[in-house]
Amino acid sequence: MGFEPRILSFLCNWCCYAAADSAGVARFSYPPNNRVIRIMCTGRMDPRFVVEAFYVGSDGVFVGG
Amino acid sequence: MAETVRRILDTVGVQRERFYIDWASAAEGPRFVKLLTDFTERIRELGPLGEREGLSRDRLRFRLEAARKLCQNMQFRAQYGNLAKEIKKLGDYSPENISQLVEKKLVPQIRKRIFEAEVKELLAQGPQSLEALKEATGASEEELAGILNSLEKGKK
Repeated sequence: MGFEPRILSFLCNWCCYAAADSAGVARFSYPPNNRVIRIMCTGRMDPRFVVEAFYVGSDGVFVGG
Repeated sequence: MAETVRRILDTVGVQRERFYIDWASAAEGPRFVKLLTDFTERIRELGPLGEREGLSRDRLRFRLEAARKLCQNMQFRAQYGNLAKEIKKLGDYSPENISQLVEKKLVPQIRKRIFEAEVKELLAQGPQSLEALKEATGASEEELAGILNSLEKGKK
């Protein structure tokens, strides 16, 4: 059985979140392993968010600005 | 932010590749798809959290708990904020400069606080030799001496 990673993404409302949206609209496919948290700006990111994400069991953390 | 996270992960013992930050504008859907697909592939190769790192579930959880406390610590947060201000004042945002400043100003704090939590935990299980502590935490002798001294003072 293959390992399916759990990835948590923090996406900026104005950049990557919109990019993810447009990718969806254009029917590009991307891996289903990722869970998205929308933040209003990448400047909102805090080291604590990333540590917390690993603490609750994510295998990887992606930040998209 | 990114550099601070990487240093914290280094200290905890988690591969820094598990954290990735990159940009894609609202119009760059295909680029976003590529970034995420590549990142997912890299994590798939690394395997579950803790496996490549050679850390047991409990050990990893304990260290991440310590890292969590570190991020909540007001003193550390103040230092983190001050450093951001300082970088802004210098106006030099090159990765090398940020890395150097983080190394100088934050890394000693990160290491001290995370190792201290671990040393306390180990000593609560019973007496430990200095070698065993060094082996278990990955701290240097000087760092351990500092931590043990401050624990000693706290007892009195």
